[in-house]
Amino acid sequence: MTGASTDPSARLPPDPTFSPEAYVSVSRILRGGVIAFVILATGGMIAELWLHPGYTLSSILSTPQSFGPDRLAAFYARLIAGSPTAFITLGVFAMIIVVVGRVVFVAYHAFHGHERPLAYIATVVVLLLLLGLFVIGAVVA
Amino acid sequence: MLLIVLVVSLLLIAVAAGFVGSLAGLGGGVVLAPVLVLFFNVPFGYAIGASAVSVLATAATSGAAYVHDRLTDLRIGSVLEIATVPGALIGASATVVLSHTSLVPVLLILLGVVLVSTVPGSLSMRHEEHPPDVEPDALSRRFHLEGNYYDLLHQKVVHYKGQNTVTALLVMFAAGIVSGLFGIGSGVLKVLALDRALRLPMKVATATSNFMIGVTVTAGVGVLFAGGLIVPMLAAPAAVGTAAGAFAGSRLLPKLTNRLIRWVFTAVLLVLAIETIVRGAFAL
Repeated sequence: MTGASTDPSARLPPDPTFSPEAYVSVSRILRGGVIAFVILATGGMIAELWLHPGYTLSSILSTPQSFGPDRLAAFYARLIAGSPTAFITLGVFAMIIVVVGRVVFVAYHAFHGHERPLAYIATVVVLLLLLGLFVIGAVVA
Repeated sequence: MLLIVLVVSLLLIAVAAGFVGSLAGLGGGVVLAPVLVLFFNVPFGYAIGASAVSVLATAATSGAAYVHDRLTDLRIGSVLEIATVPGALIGASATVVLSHTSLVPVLLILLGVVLVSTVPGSLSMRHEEHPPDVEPDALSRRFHLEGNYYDLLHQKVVHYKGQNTVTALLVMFAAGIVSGLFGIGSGVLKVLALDRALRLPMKVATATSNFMIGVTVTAGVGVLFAGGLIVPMLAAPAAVGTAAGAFAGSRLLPKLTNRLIRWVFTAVLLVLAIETIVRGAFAL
């Protein structure tokens, strides 16, 4: 899932913090999340349509919705029960994990590249994301 | 409407939204949310949930391609996330309060007017293929907000330097609030910050915006999950479709001129501005 077929890194001057391998790694992290999501979401959609061919919009709005990061136990129970919509939610989780993961990756490379301000910024962003996913959602609920 | 009809229709519309979104630096959520409300009679909250997941898909798909092609500026995107993520948390939390008031339509109209006001500025730069050599400000120098990208079309390395960093951070903070409030990536505001304030080339601006919107939406998605607003059978076709569209768009962008991308962005900006005002006026 990459754009141009040529390798731009060969033509660009070196980046002191992010090596060409770092760019490739971030790209692979994001690509992995998308592939996982597409497989899980497509499989979940097909299974749900197969199991409930007569469902309408009001049917899906009246059934229990997905459980987020604040209710992982309930989500896990539905996943074990083989609920197709739980597999779609798992795909969404995969994308969330890769987004958080790539910020962690940036923080890691910034620390190793002795770019402390950038490393601190990325670390604060990770903490804020975790706060939003696990704390603020639960408080609002 | 049968679910299978809804799923197939949504998949097709989402492909188009993802394609345009990846070219213009947007998530596609601003297209999908109103389509779900207006054409499929989906309640607004569920439309926002589906739109947020589709923005995640666009961001990850386009991000993977643009980071690989070194069009995304990892450093600039990462630094500006410090402003947009707190904004998204504030915006997402504010949805709880604002949903019970009449402030949302007013905010929508205000946002639409702000977007319209930026159109003449974008048009004035329509002949600009690469930004002029600018003097970076103190913050830009402190965080090394400069970089290079290889322009595939012109077969040359283009160097750029950021300026007006404080303005860019303020716009990013506002983009975060809007993103949290309406479940969108706020790519239009991010591109404006990167293009008009920092003065990055359009390709780098749209690519870096696509990279950032995933983080902005992730900050608010926990609230949407907790509120039961993410319906898997709405989110899945919207996000799979936008991922497919974004994949196609991300293959095309490196081969386009910055001028053409600016035209696409300005057209989308104008349509979105009008749509936002209409949504506010009719409280959609």
